[in-house]
Amino acid sequence: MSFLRNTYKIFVVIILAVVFFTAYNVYLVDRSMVNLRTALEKATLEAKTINDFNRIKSLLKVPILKEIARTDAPSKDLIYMELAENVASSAKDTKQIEDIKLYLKTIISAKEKERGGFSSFLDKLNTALFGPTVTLSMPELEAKEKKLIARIARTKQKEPLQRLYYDLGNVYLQMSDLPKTEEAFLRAIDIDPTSDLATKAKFNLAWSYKHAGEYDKAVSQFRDLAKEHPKNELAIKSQYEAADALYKKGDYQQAKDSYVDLAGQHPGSSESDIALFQAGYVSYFNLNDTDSAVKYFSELENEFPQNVIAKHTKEKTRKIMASEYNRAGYMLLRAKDYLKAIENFDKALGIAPDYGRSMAGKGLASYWLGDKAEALSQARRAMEISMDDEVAVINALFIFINCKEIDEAIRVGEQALAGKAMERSEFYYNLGYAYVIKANIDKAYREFGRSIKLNPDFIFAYNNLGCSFWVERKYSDAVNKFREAIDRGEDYAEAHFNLGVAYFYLNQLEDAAKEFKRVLVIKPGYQEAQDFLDKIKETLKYEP
Amino acid sequence: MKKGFWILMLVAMVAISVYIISSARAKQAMPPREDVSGKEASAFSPKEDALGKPAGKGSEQLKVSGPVWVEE
Repeated sequence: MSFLRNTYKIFVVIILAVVFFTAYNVYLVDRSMVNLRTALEKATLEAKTINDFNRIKSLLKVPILKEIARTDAPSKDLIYMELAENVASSAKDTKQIEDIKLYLKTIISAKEKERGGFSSFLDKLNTALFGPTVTLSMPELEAKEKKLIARIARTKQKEPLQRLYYDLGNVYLQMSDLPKTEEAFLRAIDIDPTSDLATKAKFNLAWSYKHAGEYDKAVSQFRDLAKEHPKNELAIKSQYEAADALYKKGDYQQAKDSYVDLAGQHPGSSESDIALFQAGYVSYFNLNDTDSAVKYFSELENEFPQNVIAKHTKEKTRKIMASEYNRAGYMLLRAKDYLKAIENFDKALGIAPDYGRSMAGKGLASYWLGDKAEALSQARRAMEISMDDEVAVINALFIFINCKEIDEAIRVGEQALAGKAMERSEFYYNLGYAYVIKANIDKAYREFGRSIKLNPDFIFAYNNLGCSFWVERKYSDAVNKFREAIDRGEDYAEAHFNLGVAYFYLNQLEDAAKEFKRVLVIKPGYQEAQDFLDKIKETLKYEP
Repeated sequence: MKKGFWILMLVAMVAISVYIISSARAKQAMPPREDVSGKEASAFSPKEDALGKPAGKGSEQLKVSGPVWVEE
């Protein structure tokens, strides 16, 4: 008794905590948010290969089943989740991860808006504390099944009975038991075929066929539903789902046609933007029809200029589509076939007019073709359209510096850096070079140092850092940097030459001679190295 | 018993610290080495730095490596 008196407070706290967490889990938390947030985290941080996409797919299964089990028409979230699942299942390019991220971000932000600040905070807390639910618990589902069957046995009234069969159908759907799902939904429909719940049961039944891989049945069921209830909210969703079933079946041409029909028949509906997007997406990724894809994306962007999907096609999807031409353009630059490179960059820009790296690539080709004015104008245009594209910035800096527009190179470099943290050593290297030309050695040090930090094998950065030290009369630091450059690139003639010059002025003539001789081995006929060697011979009065 | 608990806690804390540090390092993985075949060596001729101080002797004879361009 005295034990209870002493410890009752602890028991009360434990009981309150259990009650709170039960209520919290049952009423407050949206469990699908944990899965969606985890999927987005994986898409952002971990998905590097197409195989990694599968892990995202498994996280979507439970939220999709939860969405379909609703009594009312499923929200647009279902479409986004299914799209994310489709891309995760059949992606061909790792860049398609951007599409998955778009869908997940759209659902999460819509849910956050709908649930309000406090619930969203609890969802985030839940995500931090608990892991996602990847599989549904079979024992739990079986317990639900038993309970529903028992309630069905003692229910006589039509409406509650229909509701119970509908719930049972959803339980079987989650158990992936198609025959039982079919039976339960058909009973729900039979009880009152004209009710809203019967329409939803028809929708869920068609969806069960799709889920079980019976695509033809699913398509015909969805199409019948759309015809029978043209005014119902589910009609357009059924049309969309029929197109999705065709896509999952692999009948891409028909799927695309169905998306186009939907967008044409219901131009103002909430599904028409995504239908146009899908028409373009399937055209490009599954039918290899770039022209049609561009046409549908243009329609989408013109009809819904503020739409998040339309912005996505402009900023991401078009660039993925253009990336093949862009890559070919850069390969042709390397092969010094500048005219063909320009042809490819033009094709890339035809698909994605805002593709900064293609514009900068075109600028490089113009520069090497000797048209500096054109090169500068293209570099400037590249910076206007995408200063956040690091490849474009690095190449624009290359053009500005080589066209002697050093102030512009520094201004653009600093502006790009103010917008985001650059991650490539070449960016800091080019900016450092521009500072060297302006004799701003302090800043040059800083940029070459950053460049080396990002890429410790970047020999040009060591060499130029050595030059910067030398200008500042930090002679031993300079010698060390030239040596570090040589350690990483034994055949780097300029670093050997600079080390030779350094030794020469430090009066270490024999060491200097060794470096100049090495330069002449790497680059025979290097006149300046020969001149230094001659001077050394004259001073020492013997062949070093 | 109490001693054992603290030893376990200490081991767990060390293990967690090692995990956190190693995963933070992994995230800072270096980007792949870029092809920089656009390199150009150019003459470099500062007689003085931006503050007007005289540059190191022979600075004008050093070879600064030129800007680079990159592919994707």
